[in-house]
Amino acid sequence: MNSDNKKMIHLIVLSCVLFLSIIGYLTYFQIFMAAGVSQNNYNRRLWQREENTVRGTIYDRNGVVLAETLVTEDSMTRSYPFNSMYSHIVGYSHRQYGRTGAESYFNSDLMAIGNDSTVARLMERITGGPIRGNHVYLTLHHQLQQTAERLLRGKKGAIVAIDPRSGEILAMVSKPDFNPNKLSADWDKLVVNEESPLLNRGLAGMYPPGSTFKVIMSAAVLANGGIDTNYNCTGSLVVDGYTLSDLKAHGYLDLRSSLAVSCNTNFARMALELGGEAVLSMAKDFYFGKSLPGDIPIQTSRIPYNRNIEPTELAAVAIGQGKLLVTPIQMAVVAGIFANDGIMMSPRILKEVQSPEGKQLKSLAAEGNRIISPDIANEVKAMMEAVVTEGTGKNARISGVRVAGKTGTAENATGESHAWFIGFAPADAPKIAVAVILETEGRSGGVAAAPVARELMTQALKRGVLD
Amino acid sequence: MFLFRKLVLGRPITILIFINLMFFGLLFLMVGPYDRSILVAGVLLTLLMVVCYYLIIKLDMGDQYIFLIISILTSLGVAMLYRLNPVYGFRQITWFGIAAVLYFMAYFLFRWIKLWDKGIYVYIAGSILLFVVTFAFGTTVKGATNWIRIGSFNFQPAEAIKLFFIFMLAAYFKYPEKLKNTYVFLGIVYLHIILLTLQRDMGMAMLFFGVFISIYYIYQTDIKLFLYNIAAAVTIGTFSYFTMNHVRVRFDTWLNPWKDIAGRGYQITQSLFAIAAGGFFGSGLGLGTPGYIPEVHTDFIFSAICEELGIFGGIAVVLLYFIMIYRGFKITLMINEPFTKVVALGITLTYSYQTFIIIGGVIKLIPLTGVTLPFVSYGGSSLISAFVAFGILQALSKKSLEGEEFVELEQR
Repeated sequence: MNSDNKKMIHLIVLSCVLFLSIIGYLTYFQIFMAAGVSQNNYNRRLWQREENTVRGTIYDRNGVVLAETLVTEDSMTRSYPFNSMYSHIVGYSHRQYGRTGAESYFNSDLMAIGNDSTVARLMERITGGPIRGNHVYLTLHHQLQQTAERLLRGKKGAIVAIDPRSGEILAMVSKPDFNPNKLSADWDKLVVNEESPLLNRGLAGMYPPGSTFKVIMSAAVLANGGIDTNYNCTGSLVVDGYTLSDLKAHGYLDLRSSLAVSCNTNFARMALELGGEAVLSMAKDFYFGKSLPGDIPIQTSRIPYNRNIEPTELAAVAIGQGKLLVTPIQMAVVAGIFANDGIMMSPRILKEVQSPEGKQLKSLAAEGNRIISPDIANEVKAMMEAVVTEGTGKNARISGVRVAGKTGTAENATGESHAWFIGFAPADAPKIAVAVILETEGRSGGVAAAPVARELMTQALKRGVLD
Repeated sequence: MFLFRKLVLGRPITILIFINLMFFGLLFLMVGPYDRSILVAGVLLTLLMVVCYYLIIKLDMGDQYIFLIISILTSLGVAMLYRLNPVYGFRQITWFGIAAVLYFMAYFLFRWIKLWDKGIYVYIAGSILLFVVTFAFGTTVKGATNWIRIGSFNFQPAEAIKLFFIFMLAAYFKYPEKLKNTYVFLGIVYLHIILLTLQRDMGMAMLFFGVFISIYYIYQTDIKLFLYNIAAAVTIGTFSYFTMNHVRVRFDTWLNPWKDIAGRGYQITQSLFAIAAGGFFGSGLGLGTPGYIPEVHTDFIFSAICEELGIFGGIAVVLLYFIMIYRGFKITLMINEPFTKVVALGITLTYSYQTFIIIGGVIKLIPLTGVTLPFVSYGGSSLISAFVAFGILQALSKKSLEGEEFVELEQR
């Protein structure tokens, strides 16, 4: 009998292990898996919360309503008063198609998730009313968004405008777009459309930066020093047997005039003299290949090279070609760095969150970090002014305002080049930095994109708009 | 006042009264719109339990804790059922009333009749008869043909077979010579398991095998034969995975229920959503939405408990079962007579493994199979068979105390 009892102990231990494994697994599940599981779209509890919540309103910086929930007796609908004007950046919140844009980024604020305790739920149960979400104020400026949308209408591409002093996004338009009020009707067409109208090109469109990259090259040349910037452009340069050509022979150039006329051969030559490491490390300082900070998810730009980069590839990188890919918002941020004495302000779109009663719940302070020295920033800024006054960017000139910028005409796989313009104004006290890209435009950045940027900046600098 | 102090304070039954007070108080405030019937039901249930408890003490029926623990579990079950659907809650109280009577009947019958250890043929015949009846008259519920409909009542024969099986094992180990040899015995055991598998009642098949192999482990004299049994089980398991579609589905949805949430993985994912929604402290009784889980009042009641009482509540329930099992093992260890020892062990293991199988299933620790959560799930058959089993255990606890020196800490 004694040995029976000994074996019995084994069974007791087994039972202990079984019960402990339940307790252990429950705890593990709750700590590591529950958060992910409960966000599953099939979880009817999410919908139930949704149905019982009056989603908060989204405003622009001045209180213009961009998205609101209309409550009738027995239903709630999310309405977007400006239809497709904010289709990407404000996005949509739809039971069937999910959420995008600000509706997605600030969902927990809009739904007032997280500030409901058991007591709050009890209260709401007793009072019987629905939960009221918080209101979100974005940094967007309705007038500028309106202008940007008008300027891009009928075209393909993106416009991003930021305040270089704070990183606040003032306008972001991506075309083609869609009407968030008519999602159910249009959805089938939208998802198969090859022009990807659902994609926010401003944040996630990946383009070769073309000649706009030369501002970063100029910073690299100034930061490293020691190379001769003077050059006699003959219209072409042979690198390892490949010929790199310019539109024409520019003749004798220094760094300033090279940027102004956007001379490919001189920038390629200087890049080769600087070497791969210097060029790539400056690009990395400008967050190429690194994720940008800020309160919105931005596609990380691509610069898939290491220090052993081939000379032909290095020459291509110098003029923003090769395998370089970048988002429009990042190029607006790059322009902003030169506008802001070399300090990059993290791009952000949330101005503040207010409770339904109007109490401020959340507001973000501007965050900045130094990318290049003020001297180099200001030197490049002066050269960017020359681009507009005497170079390829003359179409961005605004009378009475000093404008700095850089054009780009990016070659790509389609055969039709993209037209770029990045810049800021006024150059002596910058208030707005922009990036304009017109996809497969076929014309140069100076011809097609610079006037768009000029219109937008003119509008922004009108008395009373940004103050 | 003195009487109250003597009868209530300082007795463990206080805990039960207190728990029921909170459960039914909360139900009254949160779930029913101040429905008086909830209070009546709560008082009725508690009163019934208190009376039974005093009977057990006054009649000196041995272990004082078994009934207390299963009463707390039953109360939790009734409270949850009331919250899910008052009709189930009320019916469960009725079942409890019947079960409590049968608890005492089982106690006395087991003590009065002395022939239990000689009835191996009766037990085998009883099981087979019930199986035959199930196959002949059974109705299919949830894909398993294991219900018999009598009038408006559904009865699950496997719950009774469970007890026959335990008694059969015990009788065999007392008088192994009654069966021709070990192989006849093994044949009868596997007949049970195969018949359950044919009924598609995989949970019960697993349970029967677990109980058998555990007891066999203790009494086997031939380690080789024991290992053959394990090998046989693995073979049957693998074989049924490849030949029986529903077994494969069960296994695959266990591995990845997220692949087909709307279809095959629906039950288990809804269960996981509920547990995740509850967090550590739960949404509070009546504040969650466990109604989204299919079969929430039977197999998935543990998920509802986790949603509304949190996994701390869930863990508390697991610990209650743990104490219950501990009492069972304690009784088993104190008995020396082989028949009663195996009966005690069999009952303890059955409810230990059954608890693990269903809780493990609904939290996706093991593949999900449909067995009830003892004492908590809705259902007359399972509640009654569990109370009968623990009534027998109560009798065995009394037996184990007779002739042993045993100092009870409680003052009588």
